[in-house]
Formats: sequence, structure tokens, C-alpha cells
Amino acid sequence: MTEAGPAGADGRQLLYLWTRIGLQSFGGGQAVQLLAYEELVDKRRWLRPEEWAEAWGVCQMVPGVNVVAVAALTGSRLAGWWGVAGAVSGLMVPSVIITLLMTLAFNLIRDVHWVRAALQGIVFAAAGGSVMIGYRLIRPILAASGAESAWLLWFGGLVVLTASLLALSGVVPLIAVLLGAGAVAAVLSGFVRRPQEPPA
Amino acid sequence: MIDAPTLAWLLLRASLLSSGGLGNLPLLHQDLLSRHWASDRDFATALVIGQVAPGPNGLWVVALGYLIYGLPGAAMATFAVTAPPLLVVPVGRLHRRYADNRVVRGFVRGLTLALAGSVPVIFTRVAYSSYGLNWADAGIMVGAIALIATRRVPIIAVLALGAAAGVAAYR
Repeated sequence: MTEAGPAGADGRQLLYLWTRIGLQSFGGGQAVQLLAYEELVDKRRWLRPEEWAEAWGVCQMVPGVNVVAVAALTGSRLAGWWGVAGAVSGLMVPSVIITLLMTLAFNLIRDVHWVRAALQGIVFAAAGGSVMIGYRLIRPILAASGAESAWLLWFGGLVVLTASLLALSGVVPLIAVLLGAGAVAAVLSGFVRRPQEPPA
Repeated sequence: MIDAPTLAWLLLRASLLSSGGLGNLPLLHQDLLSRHWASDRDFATALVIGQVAPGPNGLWVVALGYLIYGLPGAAMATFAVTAPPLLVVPVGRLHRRYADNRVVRGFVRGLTLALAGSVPVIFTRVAYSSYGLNWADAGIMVGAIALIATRRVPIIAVLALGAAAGVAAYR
């Protein structure tokens, strides 16, 4: 009992489509986002750009891997629970199998000298990538907080700095740092008055 | 010895309390290293596989699950990264009612900022503990940041360049 979406998307079509998206997107989340937008919005017109943007925003509010949430939410809007099942298993199942096969292979060869050298290069390049991922998360939040109040902007910067120092020292359980930052930010946001008029 | 239900819970909890493919890294690193269930090298290998393999980066944890607890570990990790994002379906329905609540928004923002501040630190620590850190490593890292910041170079090409630089520096 597949509910027909706006342009007749059903669970099986979503399964095939997300399998293709998942398998083509070497290099992670950003590649998946780009491909999914091209397929769902540009080519098939199953979603309008503003629907995509709204879905994307909602996906930032749930825990876990954002791309999985995007597949689930757009699948649900297009074809109900069958759409969720099709899109999420299409994205995950083939990619998980390939990840496992690669793990097996890496495990066998990771002590070969040049493989080790290549891994070392990739790890540090990826560490650089994680810096950019952090930056791209931090910037829009600080911008939005700054638009509401200068205090929130300073507080946000302080949270980033404190959390990175605590992560570096490793003395405080990180879970306490994360929940503490969330709790203090929740209280502060509740106290801050209505947004100021933007400067002319 | 690894206790399976605890491992499953730690994997799930890290995913529930974080967002993005690497968000669960800091918590898992702390939880699994302190119990000696995983080594920094396991983390480094899993992170590389997650970056290189197709699909979401979040699948790095499937590789980690396999490295430390075989196929059951991989299965637990797959469940842990797949289930929490499914919350998006009910949340999508509630969204219009609570999106403007300042307190809810503040909590999410504070947690995300703390997470975004700690992920690069932990990632670099994992790389450092597995391989040490010298000028070539630091150069590769800075070069990767610069290339990604241009937004012109696909991430997979940056990683391939990293691999080539690693082979050139350490062969």
C-alpha cells in the first residue's frame, strides 16, 4: 500500500534511486547531499527547492547522521513509511556491505609499509577535513546567534573554545560538556530579549 | 572482554547525542578507549575507511564495530547510526509547532557548538596517537584545510592527495 507521492514516487523507485546516490558518493556527506538534490529536485522534480530546504532544516534537529535523516524525511513525504524504508535501505545496505569489505581488506594489508604511509597521509588530510566540517557547523550558528544578541555570539564563541580545550585535556567526561553547553545555552536563550533591530 | 549489551548501548548513545557523520567520534573515543575495547589505531583505520568508502561518512563506525567486535559489532554500529535519524519523521510533524521555541533552539545550538569544537580536536588526537606528528603530517593537514576551504576540490581528491603525500614522505 504505497501512497503515491506528488509525481508518483514509490518505495521501490526510492530504493533504486538512493542505492545509486549512495554508491556514487565516494567521499561522504557532502557528495550525498549534492547528488540527492540533483536527482530529487532538479531531475525528477519530486520536491520543490523550498521543500528540500525545509526538510534539510528539520534534519539538523535530530541526532545522528544527517544524510540518513534526509533520506528518511523526503522518503516519508513522497511515499509514507514505504518511502522511508526504500530510501533508507537504499542508502545504507549497499554502502554498509562495501564498507565491511573494505574493512576486511584494510585489516589484511594495513601493516604493509606503503599502505601504512598512505593511511598516515589520509588520516591527517581527513583531520584537516574535520576542522572544516566544524567550521561550517559553527559559522551559521554564531551568525544566527549574533543576529539575536551580541551576548549570545560571545557565549557561543566561548562554548566552542571551552569544549575544544576540555576535549584536548580529556579530564571532563565529554557527555557532561555537551549536555552542560546545551543546558546553559537553553537558559541563556530563554532570558535574552526579543531580537534587536538589525543595524541599518 | 567486551560486554556486548554495553557496547551496543555506547554506540547508540553516542549517535543519539550527536549529529553529523563524525559527531559520535568524541564520545566513542572516550568511552571505548577508557575501557580498552578499542585502540587509537582502530579509530584511525575506521575513520580512513569511512572517508574512502561510498555512502555517508557516518559509516566509519561500522568499520570500527567490525574491527573491535567482528560482524556483531558491525551490526550494532549499523543499527546505532540508522535508528536515531529516523526520529526525523515524527519530528518533521512536530516541527512547525516548536521550531520557534527559544529554549529548544538554544539547547540544540549550545550542544552543536560544543560538539563542533571538540570533533577536530579528537580527530587530530586520534591521528597523533596512532602516527605521531611531524612537519609532513602538519603540512598535509594544513594543505587539506586550504584545499577544502576553496570548495573547488572534491573531498575524495583531497584524500587521494593526502595518500600520495604520505607515500612520498614515508616510503
